[in-house]
Amino acid sequence: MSRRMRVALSALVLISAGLITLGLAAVVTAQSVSSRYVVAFDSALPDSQVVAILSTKAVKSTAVLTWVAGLSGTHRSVQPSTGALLVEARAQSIESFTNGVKMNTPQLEAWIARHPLAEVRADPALQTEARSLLTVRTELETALLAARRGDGLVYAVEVVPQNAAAVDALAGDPRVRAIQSVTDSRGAASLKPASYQAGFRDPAIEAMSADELYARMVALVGAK
Amino acid sequence: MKIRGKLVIALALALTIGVASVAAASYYPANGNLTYSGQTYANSYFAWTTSGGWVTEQGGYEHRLQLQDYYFNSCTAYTNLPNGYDDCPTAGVLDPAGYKIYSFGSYSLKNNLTLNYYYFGSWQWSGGSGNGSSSTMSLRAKEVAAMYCPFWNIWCMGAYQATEPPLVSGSFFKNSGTQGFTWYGR
Repeated sequence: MSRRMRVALSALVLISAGLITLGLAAVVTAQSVSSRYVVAFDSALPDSQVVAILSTKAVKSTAVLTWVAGLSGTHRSVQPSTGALLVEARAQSIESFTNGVKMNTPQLEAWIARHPLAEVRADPALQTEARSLLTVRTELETALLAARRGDGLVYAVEVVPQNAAAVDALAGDPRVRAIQSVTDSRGAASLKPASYQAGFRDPAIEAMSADELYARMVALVGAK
Repeated sequence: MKIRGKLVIALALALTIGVASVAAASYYPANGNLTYSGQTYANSYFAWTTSGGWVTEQGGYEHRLQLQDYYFNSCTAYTNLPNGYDDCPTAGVLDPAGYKIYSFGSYSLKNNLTLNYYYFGSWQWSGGSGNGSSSTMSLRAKEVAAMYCPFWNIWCMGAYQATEPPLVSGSFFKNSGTQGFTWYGR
């Protein structure tokens, strides 16, 4: 075999190997996505109820979808069981809300430094900004309290069923509102309960005047 | 003649201001910031001052933080956007080689947006590389809508347009104190 032929053959082998690798990667990726289902409940359930629903089915839980105090969330992790995933999700949520409250104070401080009270009194857009920054704090504090108290956070779980019977078992469970394959072309608009879609508003903050908003921000910054 | 001249100037001014307003209206937030704790947490506050330029009926929005894939493992994300969603669950599955994109967003924001209202989102991570390491970082805004399947599911969402350059970019450094990035008037 001539040197030129050997080089051409080697190149052909390398290109073929590359194409096969790319093809396999695409298949693996497609499979990992298409084999996932989202199991949704009527509302966010206590962790013990979520475990009770899923522990009797042949599924591997890969992520949880959460909602609390207007905050939509997810937690994804590789864990040996649904229970372990839920424990980790709650711990990570508590840490997240704690960090969020702590880091809200510098936001308020920086905002006050940029906007004196007279400017805020004269500008409705700045009053909206102030309301939103205070609302985030209320959301985070409310969520933190709920998560620490053990309130239900999880309204849906992403699972990989081990067999077709597991999908049927989930679909037949009255505690399951909906189960949806991520590649199913039918299905409802959203698996999130309708009441969780709207943005969060705190009536007390909504009713505050410019002066009250400003005073509240100054007090929170001063209390740090 | 003088009055007609003034009218023409006034019309031209009005048109210019009108066009400028339309041009400034955007599907992405004009103002915002990204704060990284220097540990395993980051959050972002962001607000629209105008709204426009949406190309889809659904008008979804996604806030996409791209980091190098070794930096963190598991992720917990939250947002208070109306019709909110988080796709930490998809991070690393369909992302560019060497990176993970941690996102949160809204299935439909265009018609639910409050101008000048600072929306919020956060990422809490665990695992990843050791102390003192760093990662490149970029935060992009994307208009998204259900593309791969027809319902409000994170796996269905596809991007229709994205901010380029990113809203902010730079590096995250672990154990180096709080790091802040801001953008105004985009």
